[in-house]
Amino acid sequence: MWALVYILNEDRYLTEVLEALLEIGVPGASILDSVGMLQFLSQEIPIFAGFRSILKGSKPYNKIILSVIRDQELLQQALATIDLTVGGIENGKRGILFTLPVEHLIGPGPETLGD
Amino acid sequence: MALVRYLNPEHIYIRCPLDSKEAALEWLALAVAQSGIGIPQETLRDKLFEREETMSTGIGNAVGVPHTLVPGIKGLHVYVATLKQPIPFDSVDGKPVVVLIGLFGDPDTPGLSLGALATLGRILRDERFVDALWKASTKEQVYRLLREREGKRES
Repeated sequence: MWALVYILNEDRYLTEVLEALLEIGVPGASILDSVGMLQFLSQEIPIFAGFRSILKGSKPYNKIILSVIRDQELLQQALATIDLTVGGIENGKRGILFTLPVEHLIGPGPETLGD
Repeated sequence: MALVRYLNPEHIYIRCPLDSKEAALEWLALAVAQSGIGIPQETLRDKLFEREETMSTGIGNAVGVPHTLVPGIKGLHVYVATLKQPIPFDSVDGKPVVVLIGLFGDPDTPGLSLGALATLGRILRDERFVDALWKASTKEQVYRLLREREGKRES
């Protein structure tokens, strides 16, 4: 069982990514609003205000897609699908995607998470 | 972060006779250019003033932290100046400034400058520490104060 975490910094891709995940059989996910550390510090703490200039053009907020996936084959498919949907995570600088092994899951299983 | 690693003791200036924020930034640009950093004074000056336009680097507690990232600079360079008299600096708390700490970094490695600013933000919250820096009469004292303080976390 795996947790898939995608910090998407272009929310225009959010709907497409979620639809693509549903299509391949990922049945649920949670969507969280988030803000990057540097973005937050540069807006809120005066000493870091100078870093606003290097953040020009980047989105002020991110969306985090969090899903638990039971099957490793489905996980690999999900990674490839997300990458394809956003036009290449690394090349397009469209966020960060990582996975973590899940040891315990209490509550609804992966089949219903996020429903 | 080990700030003093980026501070050459020769780049500490004691009781500088500056009388305004503008004069302080002009002087700092000149001092940095003359220290051999390899960037013209005008470039440094323009970058410092550009940064101040975003928001004053007067972070409060009588400290100014003018800083900028300049293409061509390698790593991080720290400069410290104590002032002969307090000067207005448009600080967030309205207090005049008695200590300046200048940071000049490489835009390709902004993390170094970020770490240094975070360390400065932490250690310069202590009014007694700032007062001790201001009253230090030698470069060696300032260097020692910074070295000792940066390693301590407030309880």
